[in-house]
Amino acid sequence: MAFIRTIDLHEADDALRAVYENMASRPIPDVYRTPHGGPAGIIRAHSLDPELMEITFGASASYRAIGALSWSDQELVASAASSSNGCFY
Amino acid sequence: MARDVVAGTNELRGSSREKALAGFARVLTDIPWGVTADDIDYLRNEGLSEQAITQAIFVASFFNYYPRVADGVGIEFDYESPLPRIEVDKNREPLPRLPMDSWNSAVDGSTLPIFPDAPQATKMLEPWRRLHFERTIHLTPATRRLLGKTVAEELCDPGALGSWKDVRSENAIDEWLLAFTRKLTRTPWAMDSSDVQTLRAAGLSDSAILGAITLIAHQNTISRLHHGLVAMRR
Repeated sequence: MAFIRTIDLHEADDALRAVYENMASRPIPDVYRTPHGGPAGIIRAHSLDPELMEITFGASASYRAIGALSWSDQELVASAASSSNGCFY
Repeated sequence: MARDVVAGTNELRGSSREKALAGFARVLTDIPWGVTADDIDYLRNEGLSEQAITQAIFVASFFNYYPRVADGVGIEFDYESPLPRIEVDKNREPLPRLPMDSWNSAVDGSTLPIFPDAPQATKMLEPWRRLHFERTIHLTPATRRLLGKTVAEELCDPGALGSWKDVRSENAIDEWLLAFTRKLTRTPWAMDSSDVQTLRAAGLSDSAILGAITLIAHQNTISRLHHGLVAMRR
C-alpha cells in the first residue's frame, strides 16, 4: 500500500479519468502495460494531481522526440540510473 | 545488458558502447557534480553523436525523477518486466559531496536547460517547471523555493543555490520538509512510510506531500540535466 493516497481508475473523477484515458492511449511498449489493465503505479502515484500527472509525463516523453538513441539504449540508460538509485523503476 | 545493470553484475556483458552508456548514467546519478568533459569524450569515442549524448543525459536525468517519486510515494512495482528484481541495501551510504569551492560555476539549475536540437523538449519542460515553482496551492512559493535550494545544495548546483540563497526555513513544517528533501535526494533507497508519516503528523495533506515529493524529484532532474549539458559544452 502506498504511503499517500492514490486513486484507482474506477474511483477517479471526470478530470482524473480523462487524464488516465489520455495516457492509456499513448503508444507505449507492451512491457509498460500492467497485467491488471489499469494505470501503472508510477502513474497512479500522481493521481492526487491530474494536471501534474499530464504535464510530467508529457515532459518526460519529450526526450523520445530527440530520436538519436534506440529504445533499447534508452532502456539501458534508464535501468542504470534506476539501479544506482536503488529502485526497480 | 539492462538485465546485468539491474542485477548489479560487475562484469557487464554487452558492447563497449553499451557499457559506456550505462556507466555514464550511473555517474550522472551518483555524482552529477563529477561529470566531466572527459566523460562526454568517452561517449563520443564510442561513436555516440551529440544528439545521442544529449538524449542519454535527458533519460538518465528523468530516471532520477521517477525512482524518487516511486520511493517517496511508496508504490508497488506492477509491470511485468523480464528484468530481475534488485536487492536494495537500505543502509547504503551516499557518495560524499564536493566542497563548495570546487563546484562547477557554470551549472545553474534555477533555469531550464536549452536543447538547441530539440526545441520541443525545452518547450515541454516549461509548464513542468512553472507547476512546481509558481503554484500557490498545497505549498507556498517560498517553501517550494526552499526545497529547490536544498536539492541544489545536495547536488552541488551553485547557480540554483545562489538564486535561492535568501530563502530560509520559516517554521517547523519547513524543517521537517528540509530533512525529507535531503533524504529523498541523497538516499532515495532508504525512504519508508515513516518519512511520510512525519510530514503528515506535522500537518501536511497528502496532496502537499505529493507536491513536495515531485518538486524534489523535479529539481533532481533539472540539476542533473545542467551538470550533463555543461560537461558537453566544455
